[in-house]
Amino acid sequence: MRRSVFAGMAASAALAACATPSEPSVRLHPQYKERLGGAKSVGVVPPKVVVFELGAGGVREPKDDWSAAARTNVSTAVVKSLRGAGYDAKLLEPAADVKDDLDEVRLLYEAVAPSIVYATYGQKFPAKVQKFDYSLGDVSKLLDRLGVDVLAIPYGSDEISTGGRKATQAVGMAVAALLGVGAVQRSGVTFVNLAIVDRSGAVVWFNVRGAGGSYDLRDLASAQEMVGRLVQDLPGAHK
Amino acid sequence: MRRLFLLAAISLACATTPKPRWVDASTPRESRSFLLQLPEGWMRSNQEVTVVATRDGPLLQEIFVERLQMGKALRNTKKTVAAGMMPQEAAEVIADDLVSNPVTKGLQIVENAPATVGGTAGFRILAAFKDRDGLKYKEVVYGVLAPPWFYRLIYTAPERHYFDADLPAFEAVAASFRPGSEKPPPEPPLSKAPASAKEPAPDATGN
Amino acid sequence: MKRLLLLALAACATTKLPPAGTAGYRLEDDERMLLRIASEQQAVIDKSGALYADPELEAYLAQVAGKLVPPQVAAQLAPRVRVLRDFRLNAFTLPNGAVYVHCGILARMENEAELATLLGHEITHATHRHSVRELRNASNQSSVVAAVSAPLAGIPLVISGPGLVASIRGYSREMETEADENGLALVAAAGYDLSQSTHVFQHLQESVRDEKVKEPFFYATHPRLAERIENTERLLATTYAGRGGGVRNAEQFAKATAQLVLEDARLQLAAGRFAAAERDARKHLAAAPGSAAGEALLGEIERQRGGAEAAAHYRKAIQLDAGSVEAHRGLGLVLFKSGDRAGARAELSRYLELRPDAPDRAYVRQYLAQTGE
Repeated sequence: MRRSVFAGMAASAALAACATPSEPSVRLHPQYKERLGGAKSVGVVPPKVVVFELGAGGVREPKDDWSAAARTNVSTAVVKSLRGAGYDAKLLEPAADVKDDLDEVRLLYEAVAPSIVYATYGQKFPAKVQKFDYSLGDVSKLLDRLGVDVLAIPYGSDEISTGGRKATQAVGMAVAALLGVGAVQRSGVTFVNLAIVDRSGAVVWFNVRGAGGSYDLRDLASAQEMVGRLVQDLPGAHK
Repeated sequence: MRRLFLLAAISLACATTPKPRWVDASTPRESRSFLLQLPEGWMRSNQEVTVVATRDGPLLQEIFVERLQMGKALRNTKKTVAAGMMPQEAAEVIADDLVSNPVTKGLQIVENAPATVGGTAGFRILAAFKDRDGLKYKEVVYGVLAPPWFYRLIYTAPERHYFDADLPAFEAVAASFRPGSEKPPPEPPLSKAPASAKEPAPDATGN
Repeated sequence: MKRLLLLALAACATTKLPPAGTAGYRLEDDERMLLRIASEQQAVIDKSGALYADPELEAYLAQVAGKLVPPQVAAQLAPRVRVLRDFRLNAFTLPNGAVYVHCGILARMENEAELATLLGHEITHATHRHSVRELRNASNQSSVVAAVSAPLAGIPLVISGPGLVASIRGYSREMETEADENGLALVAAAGYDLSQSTHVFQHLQESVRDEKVKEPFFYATHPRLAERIENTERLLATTYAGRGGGVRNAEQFAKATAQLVLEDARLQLAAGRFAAAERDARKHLAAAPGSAAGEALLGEIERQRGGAEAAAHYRKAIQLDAGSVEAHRGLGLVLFKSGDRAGARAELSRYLELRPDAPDRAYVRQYLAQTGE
């Protein structure tokens, strides 16, 4: 699928971004201070989070029960982190008449987020790096119905290696260490991004974190740590 | 949508190679397959014969321009655009190619009208579809008939926000388009005559 | 599109689960998860624009499915049959009993007994819990490699775990054979003519020959078609020996599927498959002799492939229905191209009167201007 391919590239780009800590990972709209400055209430959109099991044979299988747990953890972690940053944050549970509109916005975000990572972290389109400008289209009416000032839209994916794969990795790493060559099967990548969107639909703040094997979104504490690192660059967040 | 898969696959493959996947849209192409002016601030794929351009990333807007030889097979339909076709007939073939794409089930042709592109007779189709995740997209296809070549200029973007936002840029690209003057390579001696829009001779099963 | 699915299965014991309608049938946790996701998948397919919506046809299909499913099974798993707008010969079932059948395979069938064979097979996948068995087989095996590199004919997928992918792409050979055999038992119990049961495979074989490809991927894990025909014939000669007659309901089937066959003809024409389109259009007309839409479509097929009979078909369509939009349009185009300006003007003007918002009205106005209107 196109989205999963882009998400994979985004994960790689996120990892690469973290490999160069001198470069900030947050992306800011040129007017983010004005646009975010007066915002008090944040509606957290129920996130899409997919957790895959990485098997020894190279199988990457989505696990729905793991994904459900990770979704709950990421939602909880985002709300908690935003509150810690001084916002009045709540997880949105939209009524039926609002849900379709919110789903449309979330669907577009699932195209916008990998595009942001692709164009401003990965391929680095100069014009986009110079002026961060992405939108989900006007959401003012939606925000009025939801009773919030801005939207926070998280997205996450995680890969958990099975025992078999870990054994294979260990062997591969040992071989690589001995011979100085050889491709080692990668550990699972954990990848989370978060966008804050204002009434005009502009993505005013965006951040992404990727890590190889050291997080597990199925675990609440681990999810909180990862999301906490994400949100620490939000204006008003306590470090 | 197939081209986006290919784009993504190529991008992945190129992730560790030094050749840039994308270049500034103003970077001149060596190929003279066609001429056009891309918008400032956009990027184009670093390839010669076909042009793929975007500003924010191909999922959010994509301009795709290709040259096809008349009579050659299309991707999703066995029909072909043949020399001597009226623009409407060629548009019918292209519309059917869109409609027959298994990836965009439910694609609707919203408009189909004659158009002149680069001073050459052609057509403009507006289509709407949902991608596999359910995101609504719109697509404009200009077809240009300049035998022995047929050109397609395609603009695809999500219906929400992006399609309208970047449509003027695409229309400007289309207005700048000029067909190339190259001739197709000669057919190898033992090949069949080029296919036309007519059905090939039925085989033993009658299909 | 070439599909690459490399499935290397280590030998393992299939987890036996009592089928729906038998003692001991009880949903298990992993199965509940599959059913929940299947419902999501069903919702996505139903909203995708891929469905062929025909309430009368759906009612007919439900009636046939109902004949195959005993009450004690229906109480636990009620199949629902929908049709997808796709000319390819395929059908699949989600674990929750949602059966999807392509236009293409329905349009090839000749009677209700063939339909019952297909539905019996598909329903068995659901009642015999093949998805969860496939999921457990995959989990039990340490060396399963599944690399799927091509989209499944545009079906929007929300799932890609082994159990659910198998429900769409094909189960293991063992389960496909079980579906064939149990499906045949359902067809027999419902009183259908079993001699029709191999016809579905024969349609598939013809399709494979027509496409000049190796058996298409979704049969890669199905036993080969020839094996399936042999297996079915063996059962007819042994288990069902001496059993003749039975219901075919060819006429009712033809009537119920007449519009679908016309739709398949349109899909075939769009795909440039002229001979298949003509076959379908003529089959539609055999079931619905006064169909102006059928004659108009024959006219379209002729016009688009440069045949000489286009005008005759359009005229016949107009005789059957003076308001046939497609016929007036098609005849107008044919006359315009042949130089009959007056004739073209009359037909194209009528076309725009009948459909003022026609998507191609700009071309038509151009032609009318050229005819001196």
